[in-house]
Amino acid sequence: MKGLILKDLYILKGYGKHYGLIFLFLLLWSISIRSFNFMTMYIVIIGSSLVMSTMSMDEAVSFNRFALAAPLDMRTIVKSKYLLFLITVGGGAGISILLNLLFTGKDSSYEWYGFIAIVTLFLIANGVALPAIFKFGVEKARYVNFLTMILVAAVTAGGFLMADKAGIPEENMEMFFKRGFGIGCLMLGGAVLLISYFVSVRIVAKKGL
Amino acid sequence: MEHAIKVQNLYKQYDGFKLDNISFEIPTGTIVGFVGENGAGKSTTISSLLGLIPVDEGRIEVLGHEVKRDEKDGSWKEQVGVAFDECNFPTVLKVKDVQNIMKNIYHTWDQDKFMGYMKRFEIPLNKKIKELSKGMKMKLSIAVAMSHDSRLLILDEATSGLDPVVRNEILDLFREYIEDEQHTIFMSSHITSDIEKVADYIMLVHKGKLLFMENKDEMLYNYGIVRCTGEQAALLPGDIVIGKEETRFETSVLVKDINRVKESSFFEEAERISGSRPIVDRANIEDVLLYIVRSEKQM
Repeated sequence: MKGLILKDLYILKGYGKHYGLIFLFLLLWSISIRSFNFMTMYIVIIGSSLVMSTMSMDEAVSFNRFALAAPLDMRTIVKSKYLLFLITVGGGAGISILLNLLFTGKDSSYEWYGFIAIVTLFLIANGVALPAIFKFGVEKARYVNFLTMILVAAVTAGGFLMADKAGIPEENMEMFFKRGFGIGCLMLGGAVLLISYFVSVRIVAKKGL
Repeated sequence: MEHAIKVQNLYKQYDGFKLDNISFEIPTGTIVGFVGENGAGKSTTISSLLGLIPVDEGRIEVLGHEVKRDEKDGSWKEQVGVAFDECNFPTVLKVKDVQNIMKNIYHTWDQDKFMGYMKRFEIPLNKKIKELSKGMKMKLSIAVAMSHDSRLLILDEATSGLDPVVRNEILDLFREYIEDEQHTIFMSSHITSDIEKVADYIMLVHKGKLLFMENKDEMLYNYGIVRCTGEQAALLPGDIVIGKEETRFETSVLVKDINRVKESSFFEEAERISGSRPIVDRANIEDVLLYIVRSEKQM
């Protein structure tokens, strides 16, 4: 497992300069407008797309075929991709939290809920996309990833619109957020990811890598 | 005799192809060349040996370990070095990255050995894989396969697409590897001349069936091509005829026991009915492969 994660981190090191410059630009821009909403989303998007990039690299040279011929089992190979996803999205989320704390202070409670919603969105989207990658390959799975994100975002936006139309006061919504919205979201994302892992293992066991 | 690989009744079916009840044993301390045309079943056999694909039936034993797909303990693969027809490391990695990764995958990784190969092959550690030539990439793959405690090398077309100089260097390495008679190499290749240079045994697979596994020297000694007329060819004993090729001017027949032909009255009888004496040539591995494939196409 350590070797596989190390391999992916070496691959990501190659993207370092490119993403570093984008990050620097977004950082300066976000500081100037004192809002980190867009940057948060961008960092988490990059976190999840990096996993796909490593899988695309692996696919191009049939790395998994080699890995299975080495003393690694298919569960370890699948698990390493989920772990990398948690590392990159977790890293992205960590940076976002730090930046929000540093530049906007603790009073921006609404942005925190938005942040949690974004992370959950990506957990769910990638939870669907990862088994699709193992089944159909990276290129097709990219569409699955974006379609899932659009679907989840549409359902969330629809929920807000319906609540608005039903005349639910904003204070009630805030109460809803405060009473476990964040934990609920992350639990949902975590559950989707866990189910996703078992589905991926099943796909790989049946189809091969 | 100890065996590095034992395969019994291996059966695997795909759409339009099946590996049909293959059985063979690879003696320890030998190099076995696995030949056959494209799509004959070489890669499927190798994938089955490594547990990369599920097999429908059969029993596979590698270094005394019964191979089962989806097994959690893959530690037996520490002793198996594998190189496929392409370098399987992501191209953005540097050579020194590969060393660090492998150190964390193989418990028996021998860093000094790997560095020794890199020096011998003049592969710079700081270069990215995409900057290496095809020959260097394959040398890197083979070096990785040999830099852990591998007692068996399984190579799937690992010398294909390389120039003769690089191939020769790699073949030298294989000869050194089996010197102690404890190491075994099972290699598939389209380049039959490579197989002829290093292999002790030849295994020929055709359309998913294992046609034979024979000692190379005996095979090259016994197999021959008889060039004659169609009428003369009919005089050859049917049980030794492997393949036949007919043109307007000549019939050439691949026989598996040329000495039996020489000792028989074939030449005298042939000369009597056609007035000319048939010619006999030695057959090489490529001839054997071509005659078998072509004969089947003519049928």
